[in-house]
Amino acid sequence: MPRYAQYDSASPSPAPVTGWYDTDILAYPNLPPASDLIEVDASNWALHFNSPGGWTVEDGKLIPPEFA
Amino acid sequence: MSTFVFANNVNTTLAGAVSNSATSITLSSTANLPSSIPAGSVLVITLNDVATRQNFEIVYATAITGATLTVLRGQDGTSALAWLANDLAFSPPTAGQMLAMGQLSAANTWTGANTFNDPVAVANATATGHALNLGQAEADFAALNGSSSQVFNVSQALANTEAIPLGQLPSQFPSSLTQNGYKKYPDSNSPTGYFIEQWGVSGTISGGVTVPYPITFPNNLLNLGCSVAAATSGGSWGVVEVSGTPAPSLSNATFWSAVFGTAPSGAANGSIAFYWHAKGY
Repeated sequence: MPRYAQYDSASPSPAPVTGWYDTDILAYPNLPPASDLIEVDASNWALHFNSPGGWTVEDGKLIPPEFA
Repeated sequence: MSTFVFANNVNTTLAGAVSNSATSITLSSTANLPSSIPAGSVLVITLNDVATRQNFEIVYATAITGATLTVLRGQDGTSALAWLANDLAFSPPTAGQMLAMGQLSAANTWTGANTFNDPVAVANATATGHALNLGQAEADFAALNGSSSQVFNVSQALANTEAIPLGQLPSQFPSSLTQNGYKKYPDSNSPTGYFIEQWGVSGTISGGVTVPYPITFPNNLLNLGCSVAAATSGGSWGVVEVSGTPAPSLSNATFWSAVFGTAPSGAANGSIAFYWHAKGY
């Protein structure tokens, strides 16, 4: 379940997603701080394989790119 | 310490007088006497004078032939005495016999210094908590070794050193075999026990772009590469390279592209798509 997108919470909104994490299948010794992570649901996780780039976080929501 | 032979209801008399040094005595009856006494064992006989009933001697019979006993005189704290014919001879329990049995202390729990003579026979265990004899264990393992139908259930592994059930393998080494995807491989040489390969294709770009990998490498990025994916637009040919600034991270990499017109006309204002691939663990 815990899948995350990483962004810089200090950046102006919308902040670009800079990393993707699946803690179910990989153990991360240095996970970013929780403030820089947003949980990704199953449908968005599947969608991000179409295009890992171009995603943003705006107002606490994960926004896919238009072309994803 | 003597090993005792027991006989019930031995109750007879001396067939003749016995001196205090005689080592053989003959009884009046063989009733209830054992026919033999094993080597190293003794049959206890108590002698008692019929006249006063106040004198006693305990003798240990080491051998027997009919009613004649070979005896050790003055045993169990008694003294060898002279006896007359018809004095009493019987075989009651004695203190020496009882002491030889040993007894457990009131608080004994069968732990500590209790010792057992080898071998101690143990019945086959039939339930959890029973003692298991080695013969049973050996037979059980032999049966397992000789049968191809045995199925062992293994729980899901939680650490690198644990056995892994076959059913867990696909989930341990997942993949996303899509245009932007990854594959996690088992690798015993990796500090984590696995190796990850990732790949992707960019959209059409002009200049630089930062591309997050489909999944962040937990520990190390080993290698990163890229190549032009499609015909350029706005020019004749192009190049793409991995940017050193910012350097590739465990999560993403930045790529720079350039498009050129017909050589040697120089840079053109075009766009390009590219493939990338990354390896790590």
